Amino acid sequence: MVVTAAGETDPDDGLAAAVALRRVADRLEDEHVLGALRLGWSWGRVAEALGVTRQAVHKKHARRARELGVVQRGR
Amino acid sequence: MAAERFAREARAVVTRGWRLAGELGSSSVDAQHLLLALAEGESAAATALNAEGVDGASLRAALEDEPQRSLRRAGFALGALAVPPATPVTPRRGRAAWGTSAKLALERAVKAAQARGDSRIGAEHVLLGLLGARAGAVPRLLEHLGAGAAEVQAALESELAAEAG
Repeated sequence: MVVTAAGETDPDDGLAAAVALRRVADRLEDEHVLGALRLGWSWGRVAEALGVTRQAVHKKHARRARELGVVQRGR
Repeated sequence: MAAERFAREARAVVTRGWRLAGELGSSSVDAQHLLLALAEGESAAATALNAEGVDGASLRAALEDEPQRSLRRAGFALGALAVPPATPVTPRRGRAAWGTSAKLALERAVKAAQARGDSRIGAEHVLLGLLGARAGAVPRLLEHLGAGAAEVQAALESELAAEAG
């Protein structure tokens, strides 16, 4: 069990907490991918930090990075 | 990546890495599993890693703490929540079992062998491939254990020179 008091936690609360943690994790990734790009990290290096392919991280974050002006079009 | 170009010890590292991934609860073989397989093996790469403080026991402990450490360093206080201990799994067989970080490390191992004019890929090239990572678990673990990539590489070079001499 992940949570020490999982046995006493209502499944409804526990499942909602899992959803909340996923949102926190997504937000953390969004922020730090942009932060890394602002520092001049390449997409490849960001991908390596996340343990995914360059294509995967680019597909997920490139549009937002362009819209926020963090990377130029075509990168 | 032609498997037959991998020398016996390098193939053993890959096999042990696959087994370690499952033992440590990972459904994919990642670079850190290859690093542990190297550190627990017998090769110039293992000697170099151990000499720099990267041995099986310290690496296993560092690996186990890594999720908690990363969360703390990113400012997360988990309180009652703990990252669960690894539950052994059976990694998928075949290509799907290979994580991106391990694939990149093995690609760099092949390039390192080519750059040195070595016809076979040995454990030392796998280590060089792992040391080439710019981000991810391997550089973080090495940093935590106080072993710089440059120092490990220097230890490897002198070990190889001693073997050749």
